[in-house]
Amino acid sequence: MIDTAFTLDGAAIAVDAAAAPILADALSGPCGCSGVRVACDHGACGACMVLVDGVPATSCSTLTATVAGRAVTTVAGLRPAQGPPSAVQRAFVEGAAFQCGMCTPGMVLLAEALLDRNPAPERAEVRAWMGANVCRCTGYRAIEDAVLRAAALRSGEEEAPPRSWRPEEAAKVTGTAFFTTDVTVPGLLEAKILRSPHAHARIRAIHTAAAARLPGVVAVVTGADLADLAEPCYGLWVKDQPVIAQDKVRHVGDPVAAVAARDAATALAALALIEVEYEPLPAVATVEEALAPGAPLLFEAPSAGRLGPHGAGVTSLKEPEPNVLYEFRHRMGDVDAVFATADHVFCDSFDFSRMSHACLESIVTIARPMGEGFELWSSNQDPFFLRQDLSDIFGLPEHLIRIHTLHLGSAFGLKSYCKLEPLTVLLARKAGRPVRLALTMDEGFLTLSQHAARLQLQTAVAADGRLLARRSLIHLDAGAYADGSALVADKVGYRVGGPYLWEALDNRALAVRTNTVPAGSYRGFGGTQAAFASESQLDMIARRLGLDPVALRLRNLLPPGVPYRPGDSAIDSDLHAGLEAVAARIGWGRREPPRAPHLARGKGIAIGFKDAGGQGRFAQAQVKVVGDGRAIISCATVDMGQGASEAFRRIVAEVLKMSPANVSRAEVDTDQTAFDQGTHASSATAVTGEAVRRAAEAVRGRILAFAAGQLDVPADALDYRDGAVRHGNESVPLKDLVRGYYGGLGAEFTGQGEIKIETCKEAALFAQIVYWMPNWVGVEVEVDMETGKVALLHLVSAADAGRALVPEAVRGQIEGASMQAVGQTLFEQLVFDGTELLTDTPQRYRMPLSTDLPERFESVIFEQGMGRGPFGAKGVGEAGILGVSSAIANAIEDAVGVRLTALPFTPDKVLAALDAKALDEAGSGPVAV
Amino acid sequence: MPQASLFSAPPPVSPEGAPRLVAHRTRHRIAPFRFLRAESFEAADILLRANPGAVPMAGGLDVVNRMKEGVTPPAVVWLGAIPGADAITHEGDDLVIGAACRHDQLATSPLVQALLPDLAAVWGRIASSRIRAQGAVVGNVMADVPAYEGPALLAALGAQLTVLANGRSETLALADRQEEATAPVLVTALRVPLAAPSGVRRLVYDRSLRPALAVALSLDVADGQVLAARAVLGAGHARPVVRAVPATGRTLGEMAAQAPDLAAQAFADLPDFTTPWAGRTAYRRRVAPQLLSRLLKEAAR
Repeated sequence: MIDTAFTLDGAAIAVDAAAAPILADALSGPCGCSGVRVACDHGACGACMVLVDGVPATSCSTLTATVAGRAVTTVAGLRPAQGPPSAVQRAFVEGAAFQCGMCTPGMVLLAEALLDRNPAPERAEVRAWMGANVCRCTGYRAIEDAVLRAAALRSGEEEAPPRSWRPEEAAKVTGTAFFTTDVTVPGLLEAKILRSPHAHARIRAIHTAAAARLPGVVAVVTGADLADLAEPCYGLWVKDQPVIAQDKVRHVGDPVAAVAARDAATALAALALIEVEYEPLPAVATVEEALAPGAPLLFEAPSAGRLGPHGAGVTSLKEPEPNVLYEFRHRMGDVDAVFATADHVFCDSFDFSRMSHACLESIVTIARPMGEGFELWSSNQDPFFLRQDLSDIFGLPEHLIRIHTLHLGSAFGLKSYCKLEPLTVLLARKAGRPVRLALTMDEGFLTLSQHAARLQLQTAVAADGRLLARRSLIHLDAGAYADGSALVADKVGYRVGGPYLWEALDNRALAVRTNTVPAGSYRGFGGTQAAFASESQLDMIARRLGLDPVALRLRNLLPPGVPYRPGDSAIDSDLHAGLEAVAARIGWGRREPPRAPHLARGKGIAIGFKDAGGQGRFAQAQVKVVGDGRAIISCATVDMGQGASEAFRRIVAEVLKMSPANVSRAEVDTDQTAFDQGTHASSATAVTGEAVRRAAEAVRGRILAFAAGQLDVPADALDYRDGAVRHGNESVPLKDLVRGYYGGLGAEFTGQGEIKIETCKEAALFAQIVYWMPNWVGVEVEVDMETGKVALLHLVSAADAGRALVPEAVRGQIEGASMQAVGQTLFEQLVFDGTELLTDTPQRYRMPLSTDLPERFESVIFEQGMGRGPFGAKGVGEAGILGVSSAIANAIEDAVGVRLTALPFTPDKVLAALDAKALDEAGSGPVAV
Repeated sequence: MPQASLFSAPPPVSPEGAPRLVAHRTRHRIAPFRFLRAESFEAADILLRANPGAVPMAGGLDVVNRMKEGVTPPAVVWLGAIPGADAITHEGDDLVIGAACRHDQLATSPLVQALLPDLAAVWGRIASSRIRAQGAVVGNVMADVPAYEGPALLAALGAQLTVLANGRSETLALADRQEEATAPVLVTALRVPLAAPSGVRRLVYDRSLRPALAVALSLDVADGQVLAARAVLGAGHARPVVRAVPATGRTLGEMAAQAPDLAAQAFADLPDFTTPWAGRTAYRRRVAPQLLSRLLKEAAR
């Protein structure tokens, strides 16, 4: 035992440094600090940061013993009990400088350290300083602004009174937010997974006896334990992913065995004792290799599963050919005839890269056996859908499965659908005790990724620039297992035409298996891939025809009220107005002189576009008004920082005419909460929000009906406002009416609402799209022609919120998604050497930082009022990621005359393209880049 | 040297004979170890000898990271409590940086700002504010992580390591460390040579293309004439690649005018890069002279 005494948030404390050698564990464990949470476990992200003697330190890489005699400050220490918050905490809340909140303690402390060092920093210094820590959600602009405002607050320059904080805001800036990773239950075991070192191998044998004998090990699970399961595999439509590898492993990192033990260290030690006999098999690293004749097969037999329904013009095939797990095809009109008579046909190919979600809270699940069933806390976006999957896998009725979902430390699609929950349940059932499985960020890199893709487009155009027809062939790299790939293929295939009027379309999208990390949901969900290719090619066509790229788009854009495609819902945004506004902001048509001879400037424009709100969605909600007139919302949208809970509060507040502060949100619990199909496709505001609005209307109706009886007046002569029933100038608190009728034990009023997007076989995806999500982007770049480096001088990213219920959250969504796209466009990617992932740690996997912000970054919220959600609202959660990449590609061509068609646009690729152009101009003919 | 340590080539990440644990680089893998607080470097040397396999630690970021990968030192010898171990002093013709000196101390040191202002200015831009606050300069140099920036900058300046082993102090030029060499067990200080009294020493640095590459240039100038120029390529190798720039004897004006040729000559034979995830070797070879050429012009101004 090594007693280490130090000062923690102003109070003396001593801990056993031998028992908790890493400071993060000492603080979050024996010291009881709720605001210290490890994310990357590499000292790379800064989420676990504390101040040691006022100096920033990542607690995940600090030995506890080294802080002896020193002062450690956590974010909780910035606001003493009952005391006022620090200026930084206040500025972060009032500036909406956080979303999921995982990075917030570290960011707040980093800002404190800066302002202690320099009370009046310039913006550039703030940007450079705050670039130490990673935020995956906000896009950093809000953080930067908050730090500058905190400086003003500290200096007394700004005297505005503080506003009251919402509970989740207070929790995030004071370190009391509660994530799934914080859940603990009595008798909890820790689980770890043994992962395959091979990309493709047959499992000959697994020897677990030594691991099972290790003291502290309670359960070991392998593929042999799947024999008793009703369905051993999961996946959306194509159920090919085993709960744990059975006969084969199909990618590096594929789970082979899992151990539940008294603690994580014991579980890891047990993994090292497991011997696996592998027979390595030839592997396929790329789509090309997977589709080559005679390619090794990932699956020798068809997988389980059943495809979802489709509507007009669509054919879909499950596992139509070797290594292809799904094919989607959408046809409209006579493409051959249109191509035959077109003035121009342009054929281009685009390669889309692949990012990791890299959430600061990775996947974490706690499973507890409960009688025949079990209880689960899981960082999952779709608790009811997950319950259904688990019911199928374990052959249990759904009512015996209870799932709690807490606030998520971001998701971006990583946490949609079933992931490692069945494996955790399997361990818990075998152990007969609760088990926690928390992936590290490194494991996250090997668990799910975005889809890389190659998109080949043929586009027929009239001489006057009218778009006529498009054929496309899209190959998605689905990785080793289906996950959500089939649905992503639907979406990329249906969206690749973009928001333009076409006479004919024939778009095919295939999801292809490779021996790499499985791909699945990722913010944009096929829309990013489609928009990159389509909006790049539109610009190329405009330049080839000598047309202005903005004018070409304006000529072909679908106007509001016209269906996207026959049988589908109508366009519900004014795309022309948005494009013109963004073009004006970027100074379209004006060219600034370069700042140096080796630099060139250019501008680009794009309209990213996708459908949103999900397919045929069904959501329910319940709103209770309690005896004192305040309201509680129950719905299953999972809050992961997108601001859904506050949007719901404002919807209810508007209907019930009360302050949002008097509306709270119940936690998600499948036993208690109103049903919802899941939190994806930017459906929270528009779909679940509408169910919430209807529930609020229902409860309002019940209250007024009740009051009408009590006051003996017609209900339509009454109003409900601020918790009181009003009749003319008379106001009676609801509380008084309740007590008068129900007595002192009180009562509540409940309203229920639901929304179902009806199926429609005339619509391609078997239901009309809920709403359309445009992302108008304008960008100015500066290209270094000697190194190929691209700098963003000005980025304008705009979205249509219909009506912005929570404007600061809408802005944050646009900015966060846009910065994610900036990363994807310029540097962020999973790099493979064959089937081996090279960027497999947070130190190697480069994520955007505040230092990557464009010199000027404008997010624009349009409120065009045509949304189908409450009060005309739409979602914007995915918008910002859609148009940025193509806009930057277009700007690069504008600057230096080369076309980049493969993401990311690293300096290497840009320089190679410039070289190729120079050779071409020198008469050597075109050179492949 | 008496013991292998974290300062030598990385050992295997899992115990001998055990399977590699894919994706399990985590603090939960840290095996029990003894934490030994040294009161002096001499005491640290004795502790290291008394505990074979023990590792010295100043900032700690990289030592802890390697322990998370499965390295299992029986003891960690903590240098952070040694009085004066973080000091920066002026000794003879050298700037002496103590083993526990943090990056931020170097960047903000009035002594460094006075004696070698370029070093202070450049050091204030490396890594990140948090790493500069937490990490030790010596730890950064000795970690052999290609992405780290300290080694390139200090190698450009011709820095030397002062090491203590078996009670004996030795010096070793940073630029002379070889990939395969066993590094010293205990570094007590870094010595950075200063310019001759009649001359000026410049240090310029281009990190704009990190993580693909970074280039540092040090220049000794007297009476407008180049005495020595040393270019270092960082970010692509465990140890930075040091090259002399054939500019000696030229005026600054001549050096600027001939910058592209001088840069091309200096970086004519770059080895293959060892960080393929950060870029292609061909590209890095192509642009490294470009960055160096710009630095030569910048330094001439």
